[in-house]
Amino acid sequence: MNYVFTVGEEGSETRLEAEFDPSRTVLEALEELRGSSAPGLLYRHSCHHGSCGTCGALVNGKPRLMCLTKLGELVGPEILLEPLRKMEHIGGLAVWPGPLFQGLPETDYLRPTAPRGGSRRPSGWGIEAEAGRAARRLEDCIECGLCVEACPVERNFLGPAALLAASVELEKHPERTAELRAFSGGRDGVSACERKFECARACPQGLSPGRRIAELRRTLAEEGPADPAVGR
Amino acid sequence: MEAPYSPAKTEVLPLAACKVRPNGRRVLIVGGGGTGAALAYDLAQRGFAVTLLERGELTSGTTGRHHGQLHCGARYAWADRNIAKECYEESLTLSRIARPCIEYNGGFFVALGEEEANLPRFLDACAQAGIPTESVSPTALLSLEPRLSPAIRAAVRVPDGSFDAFRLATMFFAGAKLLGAKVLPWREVTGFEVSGGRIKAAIAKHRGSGREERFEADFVLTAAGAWTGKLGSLAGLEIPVTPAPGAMLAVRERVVDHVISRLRAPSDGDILVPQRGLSIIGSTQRLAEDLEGSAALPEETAFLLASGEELVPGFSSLPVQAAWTAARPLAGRASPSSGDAEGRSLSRDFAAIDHEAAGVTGFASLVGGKATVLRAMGELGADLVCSKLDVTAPCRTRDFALPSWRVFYQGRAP
Repeated sequence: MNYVFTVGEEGSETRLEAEFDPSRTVLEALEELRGSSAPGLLYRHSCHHGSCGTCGALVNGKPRLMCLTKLGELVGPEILLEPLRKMEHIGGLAVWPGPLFQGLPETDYLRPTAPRGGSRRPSGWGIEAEAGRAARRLEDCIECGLCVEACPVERNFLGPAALLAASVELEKHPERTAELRAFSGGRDGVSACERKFECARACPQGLSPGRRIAELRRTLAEEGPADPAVGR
Repeated sequence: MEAPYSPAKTEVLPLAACKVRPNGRRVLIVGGGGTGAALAYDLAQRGFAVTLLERGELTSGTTGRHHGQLHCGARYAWADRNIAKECYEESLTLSRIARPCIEYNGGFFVALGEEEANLPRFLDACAQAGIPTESVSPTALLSLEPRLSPAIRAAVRVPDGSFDAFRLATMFFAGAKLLGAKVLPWREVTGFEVSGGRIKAAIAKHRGSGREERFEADFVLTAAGAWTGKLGSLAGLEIPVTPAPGAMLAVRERVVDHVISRLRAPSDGDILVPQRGLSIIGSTQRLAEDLEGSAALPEETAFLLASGEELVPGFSSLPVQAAWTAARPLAGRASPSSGDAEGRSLSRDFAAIDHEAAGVTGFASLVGGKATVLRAMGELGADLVCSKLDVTAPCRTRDFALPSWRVFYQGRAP
């Protein structure tokens, strides 16, 4: 099928046209175009399977990971690609995700996996799966920033990615409660959320930062205001 | 079994405790993958003024795209004892300095059908490389990993793991940045200035603004993986690297917690790596001239699904997250005409090539290697720079915990 890509950045537009099978992803199409007719095309990419979180862009106006978006899922052969607006623009579709990472709290990125049964014997090898200890895996959030992009809140707001991270951390590390409550409970914290749940619709991992924010807001309300002297 | 390593004995320090004594020498690194990242961090720690240039986003070549297996070396113990030993040592080191991005759960080599006959040779090869193993009965294996095939006849436990390929490299970039290195993505090197047989500078174009920049250096190292040959030709050099693309496929379910490998000499479709909520089966290997493009071929996808099915019944009907390729940068040359169409005869070992012998002083290339040994490749390159520039500074990258990948992207774009 013949596809027409319009790469739109502030003040300029590049149109690229080529034949692709609808089962190809937007990222694969860009890789081929860069290798042939558009060597100057700029976009971030790394893992090509939805783990690194680098290839976010606005695809027909919606924040998506280009590596997981198949051409056939999009309506029609005209595809508009734009850089994420809330990140720092580099050129083309490429951005610097500083605004996202600036706001993320430092958290533990590993968690236990669901038990599969069987008993683990100690190996003495320094690996996780020791006697009585579950295997561990990386957290679900891939820090792609699509939830931040989709969030309609205009005032100063920590944003869905940072508050999701804080909420997950709070569950795993109750010893950090005071610090994380102070982080989430400020004017730019959970109370700034407008409950539109655009974050959940945009999340490529199927997470719902909005729901976690609502839960966090309830917990904070039940337990009274955070001590402003702690954290931040 | 005797524990070969105890994590308690080898505590790492926070990077804030790392004192750096600047030596005033400037080193330029070309290539922003895992090797360049480890090199930048090591050189910055040894006091060099480091600048790294990458033509696209960091880790956008091969680094981010492999299946993320933390190799204990058992896979290579059959044939390549050096890289096997190196992998084991480095997997232990990374588990200490980069733990936050590693799922360090161990692995199993499993035998299907005739593969059981390979068991004694495999155990012997691992023992000779110093890699610990433990034979496990199929019943015990299935109780730990119930999704695996009941046809498995033998299993050996090894200290493998998986890691987040993008985040591991980015932790090294974060360390380099905190120690003062300038890590600059979106800069494409368009030429080198060589005068009197010595390299003086590189010219690079910022691909966003189009602005040209000149970077002077006392030493230039390329760490460009499969792209090394193209870069070398800018300085009139021929550097032997064979790009060997391999395909991988991820299904949207974590079917195992351990890395599962086939108990046979390395071939296609024989590793299953869990990561987050995904399971990645890999890989294939072929040789290619064209490095651009990332799509897996339909026959590769079908082959990988069938390979997964052999290990985990039902694998081929799980939803596919993605199928993609990565170009391995094997050191040396292989070609279909030499009778090795896949390049499997080439070692996964790595080397630093000093281009002084070829007529360019102050210029070297790091070639070959595997993601698991990125730190060791950085050490090798930094050792070479020290000896060439008469700087005495020992490698200390084993001693400090790397900062979070998040640190790298904080602040404004460089």
